[in-house]
Amino acid sequence: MNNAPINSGPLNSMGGSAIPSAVVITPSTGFVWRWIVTLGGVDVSDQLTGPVRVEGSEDGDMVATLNLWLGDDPVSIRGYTGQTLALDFVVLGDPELVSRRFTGFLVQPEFDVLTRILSCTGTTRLSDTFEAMELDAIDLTVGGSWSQDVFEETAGRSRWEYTQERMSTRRAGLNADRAGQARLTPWYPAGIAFDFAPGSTIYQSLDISLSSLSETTNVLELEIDYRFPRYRQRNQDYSWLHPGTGGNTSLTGFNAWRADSTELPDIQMVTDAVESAGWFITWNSWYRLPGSLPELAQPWFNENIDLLLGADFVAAVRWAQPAVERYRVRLVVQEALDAVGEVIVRDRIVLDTDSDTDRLWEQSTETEDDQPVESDDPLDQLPRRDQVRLDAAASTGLLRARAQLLQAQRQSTVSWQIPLAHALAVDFGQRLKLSDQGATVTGTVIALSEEADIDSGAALLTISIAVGQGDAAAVSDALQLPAPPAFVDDIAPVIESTLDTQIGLRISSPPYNDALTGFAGSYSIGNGDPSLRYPRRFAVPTPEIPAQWRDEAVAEQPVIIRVAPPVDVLEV
Amino acid sequence: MTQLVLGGIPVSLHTGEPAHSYGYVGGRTDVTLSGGTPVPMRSFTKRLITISGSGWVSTGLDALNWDAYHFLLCAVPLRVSGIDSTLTITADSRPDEPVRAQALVGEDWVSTDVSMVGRVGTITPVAGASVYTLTWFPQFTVLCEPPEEGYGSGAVDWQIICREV
Repeated sequence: MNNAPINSGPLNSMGGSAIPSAVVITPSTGFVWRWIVTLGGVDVSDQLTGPVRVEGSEDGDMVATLNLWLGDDPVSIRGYTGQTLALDFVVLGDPELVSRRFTGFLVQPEFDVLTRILSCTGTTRLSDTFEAMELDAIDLTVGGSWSQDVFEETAGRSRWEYTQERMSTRRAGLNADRAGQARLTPWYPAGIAFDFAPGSTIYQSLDISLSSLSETTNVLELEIDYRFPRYRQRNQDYSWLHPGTGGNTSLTGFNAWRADSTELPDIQMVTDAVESAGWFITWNSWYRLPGSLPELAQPWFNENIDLLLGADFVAAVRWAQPAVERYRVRLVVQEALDAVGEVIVRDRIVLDTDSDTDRLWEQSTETEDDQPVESDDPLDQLPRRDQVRLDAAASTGLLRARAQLLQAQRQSTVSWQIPLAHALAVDFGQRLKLSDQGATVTGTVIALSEEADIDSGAALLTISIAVGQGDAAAVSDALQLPAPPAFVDDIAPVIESTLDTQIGLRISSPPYNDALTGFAGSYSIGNGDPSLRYPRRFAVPTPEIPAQWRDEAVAEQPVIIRVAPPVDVLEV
Repeated sequence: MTQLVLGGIPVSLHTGEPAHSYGYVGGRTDVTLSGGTPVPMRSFTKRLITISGSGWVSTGLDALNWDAYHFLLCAVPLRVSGIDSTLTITADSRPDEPVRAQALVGEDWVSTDVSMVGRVGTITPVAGASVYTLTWFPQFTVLCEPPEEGYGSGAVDWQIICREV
């Protein structure tokens, strides 16, 4: 199991796809042992004195401590730091059983001048190992999930932190094996590796430590706020036709106008009127005054064909509205919640995909493919969502939340001792069963501590396992965000799309009305007071954009995701 | 009588008869499994030899450097028995004293010959023997605690505690 390459398969299949049958550990006999200590490639077993301790936990380094007597000859003390350190536990007999217990580096020697004893602490230096790795190599080794929106940008940051961020989304521990190699061990391995039979463990060594209620989180409320701009466009249809045309937009209409001609607006006036309101014209159908028609019975001469007898056009205004999709995710361990009530932890992830292009949208007038084109709908919106980025952040956040919740549900530990030679193969990432000392317990190894003291001859292994608190009938939901919530807009205010016309300089003309929309101008041949001549102007009213369309819009989507921790036995 | 010799210095009988006590020192712990089974765990086996006496004069062994290892030739024999005619002695034998073999025939001990190869002695079988035994005077390389000597009531009391190296 230990020599499988790291991350060589999905976690649940680690150590082979077939579930291995449990090895039963029965009460065994005495043994004679010794250590082989190799420091910097040299066997220094003869200098070993006192106890040797090798400790490790599911997460983090293996740590070895030992004492070496340096002898009476002068030695260079400085050279020890950084030397490779290997410890083998040897069970004497025929054949001799050599078990590698530790491979690492001497990180902190301490020298006692009086006794000439060098106290050595060796570790497997996981943090140094990962700090020296490239990011993609870490990704490959650790797996898991990572998002810049959940964590911080990687530039200039510790790679070891990055490694741990990735680990926080996994249901596994990162530790070093006996050969000093980094590896992942699953929280929930399949099958029981070792079964400790009655009478196999050391008398009165059983210790059961139940988790405190406040540590046993059973509800994790995760708020994922996704803030992004909605590109919006309000369209408005306009229609204007000179009343003198008699409603006719062909040559007949022109002739009708020509019979009693008036001033006319031109395209520029219409465009200016729209643009002065901050809008722009997205579509038009101009009914132009015809150019010169000398072949008519009454020949018609006209240079300015931008003058209009009528116009149908659509104007639009664009703005970017900040929108927030608020996913209120509630991950629950339902059985624990029912049993003890809520023990809540909260977390929040905020994504923001605003960008500089938002201002460009407000200024733009093009109708490109990825932007809303004019339509009959008075209100268009284009959410500038980055679904891929949201998915990455959400799945990272959800995986981390689930791991956090599951970790909280495996806080109860059971530990016991056994003579080291009886259980040399016990390792992290194994599921153990204990049927001794009146207890029946299953769980995954989370800590191992072995101490073999040359003076006393005692060589003991302390095993700690985490016992999960699952329920066999529990249901586990898929870990994914629901569909995005919908934003509901207020009803758009409607304005009259047909523009008015008022023609002055005749006695019959009403007084000039500034509030009237559309075109104002005068007859070519008037009979009224010249001072009452109407200004030639074209007015285009634009509909109001409600504040609710502009202000930050928030849409909530609550979801409950049930998490089911695996089941372990804990009976005493 | 066989003389006690430590670090090449013979200890004469004027210091009193040296009483030997052979034992073991450390290196072994027994644990009890939950079913009551005791399990011994041992890292080494070394002898602890305590020699004491009370006589007219002191041993004079203070001439020795107590920080150094010394050669101890014991004056009291050790013994191994077995029903087999091949026996292994558990410590080296003094070169100046032969290993003696005896066989129990009926109710009498009968001397017989033994040939030693290292610590393994092959005893010449004796007809009707039920038990064979080897007796030898052991020698050890030892580290001594600086010995205590007590003077009073007209005698010198001394004790040397030696640990096998």
